[in-house]
Amino acid sequence: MAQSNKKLPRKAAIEGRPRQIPRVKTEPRDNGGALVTVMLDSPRWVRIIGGKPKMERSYGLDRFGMQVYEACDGKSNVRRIIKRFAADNGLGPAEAELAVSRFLKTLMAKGLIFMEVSKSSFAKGRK
Amino acid sequence: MLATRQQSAAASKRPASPGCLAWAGWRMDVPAQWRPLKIEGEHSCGTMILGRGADVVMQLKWWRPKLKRFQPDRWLRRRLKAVKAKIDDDDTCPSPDGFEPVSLAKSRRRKRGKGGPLTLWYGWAPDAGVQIEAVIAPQESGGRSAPWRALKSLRAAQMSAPTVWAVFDSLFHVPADFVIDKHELLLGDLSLQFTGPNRQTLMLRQIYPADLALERREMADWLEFSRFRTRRHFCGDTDENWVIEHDGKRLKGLRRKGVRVYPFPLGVVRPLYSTGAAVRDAETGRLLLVEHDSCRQHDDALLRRMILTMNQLEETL
Repeated sequence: MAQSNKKLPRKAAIEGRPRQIPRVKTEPRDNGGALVTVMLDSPRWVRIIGGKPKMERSYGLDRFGMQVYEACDGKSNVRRIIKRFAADNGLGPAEAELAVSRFLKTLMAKGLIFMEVSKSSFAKGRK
Repeated sequence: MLATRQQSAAASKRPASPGCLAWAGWRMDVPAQWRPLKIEGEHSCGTMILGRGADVVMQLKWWRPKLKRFQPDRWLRRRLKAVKAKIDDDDTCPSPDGFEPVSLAKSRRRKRGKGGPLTLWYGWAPDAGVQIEAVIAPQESGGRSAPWRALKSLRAAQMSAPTVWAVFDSLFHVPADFVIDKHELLLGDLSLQFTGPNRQTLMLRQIYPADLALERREMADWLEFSRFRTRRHFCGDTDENWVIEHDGKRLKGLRRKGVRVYPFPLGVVRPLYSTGAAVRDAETGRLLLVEHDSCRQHDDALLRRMILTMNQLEETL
């Protein structure tokens, strides 16, 4: 497992399999996007003052965001998601990689997905 | 979800310029995974760093010497001394058309932890008046590597000839004597601004996916909203519907004409005739925008030509 202060090498990141955390609900929107609600840990200060340990948070995703989010099923790796996104939206691989990897980073920072990285691919990427 | 995917796949097609990278008068074919990591400089000199993902593959530098009697051999000797490199007599040195002489060199400096020395390639294009230096990453050097193939495909536009600008699968044809002034390359929103003779300004822009862009903002607002700040503001007629038909292609959009003036009380000082157009290309799912300012007259023909040649590898008009 990668340590938090170490940057994940590209080769390892591209072979990683993003997986959604369990959703509470999904409300579709007219534009093809959706409002996704997930259960997250409450901030520490909330727990200190006696608040609930878990809280619901909702995130609005547009059509393209939903495409990437739905693809995070734990089976497809990032490379495959990029390839599919590029084919679906008529983008070049370089541009699709940039867009998808940035969006996955955002999803991870918000706690909507986590990334499964195998030890072997991480070791290969470090070389 | 499935329906959405099928719709978007049917709606947008990749433009017909995959792998073409062109900037500041040079052009080459690069692998589809390559992208510019950093672009600096202008028409006369500049640098572009190319990478695969975040890994640097190659750095390309260009110079347009002002000297009438430029001596590429002398320049190369001095350059090699400055970068501490020595000529490498390699038979596999790429020699693209229009570049004479070409040279290969190895840097004596070694990048810590990166293996071997950097490989440097130099080429002088006399017709274009441009000297190019390519610095190839140690892990990418070798006769059959991708940078070698890319360098073999390198071409340079002749002096005072129209130029091609291509990045991220978007391609623009620019008339002769226009040089780059500003650029802003964002994901899904590429803008280039050029300056030409007689205080002309030409702004070319592509926004995609068009349906998402139009959900967020009306076409007239896209025409109004520029990535580049200017002191002059637009005064003129309301936007009119505009349709371009060419070779079985039908592009619908808006056009506006007016003048660009300084704010009050300087409104009468050197106004510029301004013509702008925005059309939707349903085939590629992109919004194509052009804006032309000139001190002489409105130029509809230029607008039409700029739009029709966007994303066309060969200028057929």
